[in-house]
Amino acid sequence: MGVSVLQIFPDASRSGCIETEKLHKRIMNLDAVQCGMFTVDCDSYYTTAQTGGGVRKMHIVHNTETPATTYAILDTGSKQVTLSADYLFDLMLPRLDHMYQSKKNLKIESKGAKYEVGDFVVKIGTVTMSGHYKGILVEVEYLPSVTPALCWSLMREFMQSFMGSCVKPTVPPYLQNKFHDVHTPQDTVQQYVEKFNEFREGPTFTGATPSAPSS
Amino acid sequence: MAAPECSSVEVLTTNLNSLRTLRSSVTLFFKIIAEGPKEENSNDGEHSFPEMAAKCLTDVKNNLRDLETHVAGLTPSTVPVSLGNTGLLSLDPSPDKLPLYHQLLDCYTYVEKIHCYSTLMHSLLSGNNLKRSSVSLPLSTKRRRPAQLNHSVPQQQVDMLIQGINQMFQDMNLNISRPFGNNAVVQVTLGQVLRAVVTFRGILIEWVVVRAYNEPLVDEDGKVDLYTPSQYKVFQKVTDNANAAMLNFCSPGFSDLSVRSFFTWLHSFVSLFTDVCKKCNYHLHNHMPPTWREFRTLDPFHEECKP
Amino acid sequence: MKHEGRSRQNLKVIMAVSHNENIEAALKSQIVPDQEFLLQGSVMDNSLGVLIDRLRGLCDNSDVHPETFHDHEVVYILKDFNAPATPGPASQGVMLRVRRAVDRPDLPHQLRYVGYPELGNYPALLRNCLDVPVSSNVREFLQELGAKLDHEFMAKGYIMKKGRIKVTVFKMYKMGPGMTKENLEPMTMSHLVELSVLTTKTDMSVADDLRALADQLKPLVQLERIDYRRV
Repeated sequence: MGVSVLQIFPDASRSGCIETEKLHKRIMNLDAVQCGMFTVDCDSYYTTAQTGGGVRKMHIVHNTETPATTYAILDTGSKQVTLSADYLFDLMLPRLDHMYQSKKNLKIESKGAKYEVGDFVVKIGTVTMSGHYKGILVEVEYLPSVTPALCWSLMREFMQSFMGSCVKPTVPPYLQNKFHDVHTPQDTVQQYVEKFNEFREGPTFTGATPSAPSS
Repeated sequence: MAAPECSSVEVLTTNLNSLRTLRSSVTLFFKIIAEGPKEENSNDGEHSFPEMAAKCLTDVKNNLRDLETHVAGLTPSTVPVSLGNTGLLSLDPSPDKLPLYHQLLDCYTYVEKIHCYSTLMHSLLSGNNLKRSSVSLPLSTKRRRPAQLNHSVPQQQVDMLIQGINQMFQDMNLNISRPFGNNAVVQVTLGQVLRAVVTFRGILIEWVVVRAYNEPLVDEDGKVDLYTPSQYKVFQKVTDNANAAMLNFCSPGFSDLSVRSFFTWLHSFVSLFTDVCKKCNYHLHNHMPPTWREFRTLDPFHEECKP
Repeated sequence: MKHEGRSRQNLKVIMAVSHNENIEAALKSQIVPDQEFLLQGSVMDNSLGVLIDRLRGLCDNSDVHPETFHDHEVVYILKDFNAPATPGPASQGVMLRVRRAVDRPDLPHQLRYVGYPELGNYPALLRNCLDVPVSSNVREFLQELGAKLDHEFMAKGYIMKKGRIKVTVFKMYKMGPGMTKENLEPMTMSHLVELSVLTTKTDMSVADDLRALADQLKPLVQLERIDYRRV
């Protein structure tokens, strides 16, 4: 497990496939090897009763990179707790429906191709929310390193080499908070949830204003 | 030192000679006995059979006395080859393994000689590489054996050296273990960047493997993994470079210095992912960070940007 | 913490299905082993040795000493604590049990959901049951989820298996301040004996095996289906 960084790629054409095709071409020019597909999906559950300190959200995330694990991310507004559980946890959720109920229309997923470039793994995902196209999300993972502090500027250089100026020179806030910690699969999943929430709240086409890509 | 060594060889030769004389006189005696007395009519010889036998026996006695006095003058060998557990091989009674021990001894002696010669050569060559013809060193020092051989040093000396290096760097942790008897294996953890396994033979570095921080140092059986290369390209490259550096730093005359310089060089990889190449000012070239460190200045370079 | 009772075949099916992201389909076709048959009884401490010897003879691997376990179990209740209490199962909430092996800190924690016993004439107590291995921050997670700690205890004893049946013989200890691993206060003078087996809705045949094993222990332990709602 290396260090992962997520980046929303602005899509001005609002079509999806044209931009992913562009990224595909650029990454293939870097001697990339395509190695299969990936999917990260996220279901969100909200508390039914509005009593006692606001709505609590629970995001259930599956990542095809860790197929036997279900991640449950609890967001109380003030605090986030990420639980890694066996996939059987999914069967537990119907038992909790007196407290938490699924928002079916918020089901969101990022799906696409996976590439290997040297020691980097790049995943170019198309984000769809309940069937509607939302944007492009690129995950870049650098395998040999364990903490963002050591390899952030190196990863930024790599990301800028095929995504250009949409990669900001500053460290993303999530990584900034865990800059010196050892990166775990939970950190990757939490970044996905963060980006998914941006997609949910933002307009259907994030690339509508290419000068200000949400980040 | 040379003189007693020579004389002891001479003593050994005379010993062997007297042993040979003894053997031949004994053989002669048995030959006379076996042939028995000559036929009666051939008593033209000046010596009769009992006389002949008695004369031979006296020879044997004299030769034996000679040998005994010579042997008493011999001193037992003072420098035994330390073979560690392998020395026990000589005690193996099974006949098919018997030659193994002698082959092993030959091999060790050979290697020792090579090391010895290479040390002498090194000191000669490093003395003055412009003056080719004349060797200024006096003859006696040229023939001198080095006091200590690099590949068989006491464990304490290696331990002390490693301990000293361990205290030189705060963020580099060295852990010494001896899974194969006498020779040390040092497990290196450098910050959160990499882990390395350095195999020693005596005080010489024999082999280096560098792996990522999150790759295991031990194999499935819980033993130190000396051989498996890293699964990441960047550390495979660093492993190659580390072995090159190990050979570059190796100098038989100053082995502890060479080990210390190697570890100083290895320590410079603490900034493997954060340094930019000195030449091109970029992190990445061919998707690799600068995996080369200049030997003296420790400046980072890409493989392709090497000066 | 152990899953000996779970059918290996069923697990395999689940694994295959789950990789196709279709655990709901597995649930619909009723091949998830989420049903548990349970028989419980107790034995006085002075008869423990006899019972263990008897069980070793009856169970698999009689040549090795039975495996021991030392677990810490914390029970949480998840319900809307602010809602007015109304009779019925809705207001009782859901009981979630977290178990961790004290002697094996490298093992994952186990989150366990246990449902109410099924009504009907079964040879053993039948209930819905779900075991999920989880990461070690599960207690914090449950608290943030809104669950409240109900009670906790230590369980220490032996675990054996016979085919798919899991046999545990253990003693429960109180938890409290100042309780260390070595200094435990037992709750009773006896050991609890449990026979359990995990199965699917479609495969009920194993309950008879459970009953048969219980009958073989008859003079030593009376194993019965105990319905807690009637206790």
